[in-house]
Amino acid sequence: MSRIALMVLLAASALLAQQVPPTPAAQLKLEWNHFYDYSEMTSVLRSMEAAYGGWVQVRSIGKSVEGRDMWLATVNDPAGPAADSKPAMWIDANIHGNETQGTEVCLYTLWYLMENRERLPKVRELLSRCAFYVLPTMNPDGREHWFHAANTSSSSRTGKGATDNDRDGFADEDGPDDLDGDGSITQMRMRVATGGTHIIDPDDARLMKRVKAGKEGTHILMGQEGIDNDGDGAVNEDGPGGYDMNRNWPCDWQPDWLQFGAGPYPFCFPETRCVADFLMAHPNIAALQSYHNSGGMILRGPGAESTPEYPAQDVAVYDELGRAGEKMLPHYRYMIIWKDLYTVHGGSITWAFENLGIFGFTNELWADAQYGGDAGDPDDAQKARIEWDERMELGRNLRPWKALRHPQYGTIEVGGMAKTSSRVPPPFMLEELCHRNTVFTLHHAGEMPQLDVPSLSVTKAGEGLWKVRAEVRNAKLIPTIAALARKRAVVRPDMATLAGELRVVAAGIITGPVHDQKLERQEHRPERLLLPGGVPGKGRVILEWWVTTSDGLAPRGQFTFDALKGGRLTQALPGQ
Amino acid sequence: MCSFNRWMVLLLLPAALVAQTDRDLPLVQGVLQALQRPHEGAILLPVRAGVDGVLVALPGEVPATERPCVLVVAGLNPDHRVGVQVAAQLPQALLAAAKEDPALAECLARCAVEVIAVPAPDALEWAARGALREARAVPAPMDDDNDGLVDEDGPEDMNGDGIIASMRAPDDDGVWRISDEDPRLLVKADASKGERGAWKLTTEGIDNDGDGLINEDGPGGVDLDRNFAHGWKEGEREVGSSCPSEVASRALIEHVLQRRSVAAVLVLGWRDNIAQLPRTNDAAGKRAPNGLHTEDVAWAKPLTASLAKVLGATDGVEDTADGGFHQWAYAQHGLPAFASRVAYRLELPADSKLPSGKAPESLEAKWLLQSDAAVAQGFMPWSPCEHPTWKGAELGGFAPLWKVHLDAAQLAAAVKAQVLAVAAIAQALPRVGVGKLASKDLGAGLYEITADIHCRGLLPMATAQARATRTARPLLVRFVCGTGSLVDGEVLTRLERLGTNGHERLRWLVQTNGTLDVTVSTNSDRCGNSSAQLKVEVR
Ligand SMILES: [Zn+2]
Repeated sequence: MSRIALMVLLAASALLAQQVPPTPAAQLKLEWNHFYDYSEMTSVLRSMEAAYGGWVQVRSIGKSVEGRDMWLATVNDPAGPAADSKPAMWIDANIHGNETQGTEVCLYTLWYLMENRERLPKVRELLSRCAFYVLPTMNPDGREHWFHAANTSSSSRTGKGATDNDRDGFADEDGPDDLDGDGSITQMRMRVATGGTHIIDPDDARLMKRVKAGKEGTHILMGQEGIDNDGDGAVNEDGPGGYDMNRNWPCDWQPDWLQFGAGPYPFCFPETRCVADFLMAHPNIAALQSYHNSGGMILRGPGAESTPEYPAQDVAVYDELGRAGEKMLPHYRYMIIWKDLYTVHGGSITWAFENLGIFGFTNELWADAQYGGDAGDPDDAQKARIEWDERMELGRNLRPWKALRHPQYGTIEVGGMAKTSSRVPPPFMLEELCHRNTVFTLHHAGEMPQLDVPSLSVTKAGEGLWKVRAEVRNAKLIPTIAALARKRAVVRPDMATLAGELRVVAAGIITGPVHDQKLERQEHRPERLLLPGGVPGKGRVILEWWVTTSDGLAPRGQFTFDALKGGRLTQALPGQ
Repeated sequence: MCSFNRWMVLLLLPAALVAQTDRDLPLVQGVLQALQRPHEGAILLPVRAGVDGVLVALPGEVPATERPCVLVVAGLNPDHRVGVQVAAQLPQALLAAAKEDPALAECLARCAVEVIAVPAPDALEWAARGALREARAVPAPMDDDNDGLVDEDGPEDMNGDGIIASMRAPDDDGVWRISDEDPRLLVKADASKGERGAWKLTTEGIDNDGDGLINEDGPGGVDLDRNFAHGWKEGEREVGSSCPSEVASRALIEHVLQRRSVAAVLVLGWRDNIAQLPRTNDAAGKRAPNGLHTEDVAWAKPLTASLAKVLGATDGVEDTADGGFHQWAYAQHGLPAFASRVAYRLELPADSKLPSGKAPESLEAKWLLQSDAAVAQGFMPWSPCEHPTWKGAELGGFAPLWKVHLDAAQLAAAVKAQVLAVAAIAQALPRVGVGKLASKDLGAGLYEITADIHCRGLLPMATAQARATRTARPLLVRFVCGTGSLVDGEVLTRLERLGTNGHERLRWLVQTNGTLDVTVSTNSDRCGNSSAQLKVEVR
């Protein structure tokens, strides 16, 4: 074998060594079929911070009602500019304590970005120009309570601030009780001699069937497991907390008595307040994703019919992102909150868009259709769900009826489905949910403004007079300033500045088509042009200055373009 | 040179805010000391930090902090000094009045009055410093004109007279024209009537940041009295980023929420809903009402009328919901809530005529006449002023705060009037209790117990708006059976309202073989507590 051939062979095997294995070992090994409780989540964040050398920084942005830290992970290239100076995406989850899997999606997103930051050019490119702020749970108390106390799939939506829901002067004194000690709140039924509304399904003893009107049943259903803890004659009427933090944002906010859970005033809860303070202090955030469950939805505002539809340019941005999401997320539909779901006053993503100009979605994670099969009518759906649970999870969620003694009702039976039986995916399907939603948010992040200056020219316009022209281009879909943000003046205008050895005589923005351009002059302070409309998505702006110099030579200095949501560009004037 | 009104010197002195003896103290400290000055035989308790003030009461059966209470708030707008002045003197004046008036003394032994006069201490000090000016917003760094610079273009006292006056200049594109009533006044030109503007108008100052605008981004941040969650004008400047967004406004709300016994509110400030009764407007659909609940007119009309009488309240304007504290207190919290401008001094002889010979129609023209007649004139004649960018600029117009300024005698009268107002509100508070508690022997050890629950006072147990907002607990009537057992009737009865004439009869059936021993107690947030016991030896 000649030396050359050997060298070629060696080079080829070196290349091979680089390519193999096709799935290199992860720096940090995590399970994606596992739901992380608050302390596990905290440890995961800490290990990410340790494993990814400066790329992930974890800090607490506040404390929950019960004093848990609100952990925020910032992802940014430690070798590059500070996160706050780049376009950034905010991702949060679990504002509703029971809507837990968004937290895993957040952790997966962090992990996926980090594990692939060298491997995948798209991730590398994204991280070179963007930062991420990830808050895996906005309701640590609600999460902790859902994991470690008996609940249904829908309870523990609230935070844990004591609330007197039944207005008797006592707070949280009569919540559900786990009578059979199985960790879930299921249903109570009682056999009755007369007045029964249900019978045990003759085809399937695990199911209850409502009798037709006029027929007598053998049982009555008595609601969720619990006793009358405070002796007021009502059962489970004042459980832990009792409010809804996604109704607590000052965006067409309506009070508690008009909309349950809104709280006495916007940002009355420490959790929502610290998030709002962070978002307001970070105008570089240009995209937002908030994870809830369930239903398979990609939701955008407005939240109420009384809020006018967003400007057409903004809707076009939303539509393009939302439709892309539908392709990435089977069984998910792109919807408008008030129109396609229900009215929400004071929601977080509508607040962020309408008051901070941040394009954002709420994803309702997990759709029942993902179980597979046809749901049919409600009775069949229940049956199908039990059968699915038996076949696919070997009965993990079924709680067969069992008799026990109730202090107020006497002998009753308790049974039904466990809290993990709906809204959250079965563990073996969690990873796919995490991945699909992660790539949707990365797609969204990838459409945050990306600015460059394709041309910057200086031309002589007369004796001692020069014309400086700069073109600023946005390669991505999202504008630096949303049309609604411009209308409501909630985002500082972009600024184009010319500074150096020159004096600006006149300046403005070039408008009109190529063949008929006009200079729209800014009369005051022409050296610092303000662009209240920013740079449109996949568009450009052209700026022009007429300048003189004290020595009669061509102007020297620099052009700066500063967009809060698009970053800052500086370029020296040509010909220096 | 622009004119200089001598009497304004008084307003410039921060010490003028507080009583004579406190003149040497810093402003806020002076106010607080005046508020909390001991008074023999009275209870004066500092209100918790963050909403500095005092709780005033006379000794009585129930601890003062647990009694129904009238909350008086001043100083939400730091430039409404007269409100702070009156509030500072209110506790002493109230206690002095109670010495003369047994009915008021009885009331103060049963209720309490809380006076919060300095919700935003720094703002009060700030507004009292520098040139005399309108400064409704508390200072907070804010980019009012959205140009990336913060507080870069506030007003200047250009002629050094210590006053930020109005400033006008001729301008073909201006929206103001000379008023037909009096050439000193400017009114907005109405294009629909073919009128053309010829003047531009702003406050005294220059274009500090060279953006072509004057005083568009001064140090003022948020108007606390537009920072509350009712009719809040989301997105507008000076209303804050939330409702509430400021430490002071949040502290005030939290105070009301935590002191559940606040039963009525009186705000001393720029706003007024006493001179003119707010219109009726029930909640329509998913919105809180902008105005009075229809059912609440029954108490609001007579009570407002008596307040207007004792205050001499005139010149009412529509009190439209826009984030005011008293608006929140009523519409979102269900409290009877009043706002008083404090200085009601626009009084003109019936046949007053302007120099033009016309009778005044607009409010401004009436004020102008009042100024013309006054020794210390409030209207500063327009006089030319050198201005770097406004050609032909003139300074003048009504002196800031003149319309709400009171001289010493007027101030003393205003304090007296507000004492009467507070007394009227406190005496109107509902008094709820268990009236007759009786038993009837039905034989064989069965007894029927009846209790009359009554509510006396002009104000109902709960306003209609309190019931709508579900912000006060219902009246809880608890029945405790010391011996025997309850056969029929509720252990706990919740009354959202009482029947006609504020009266409700409740019944229970008790079986006992020994002593009949029952206790009926009422418990509420805003009407205090009461109880009655019945003990009968039956065998
Ligand atoms: Zn949710």
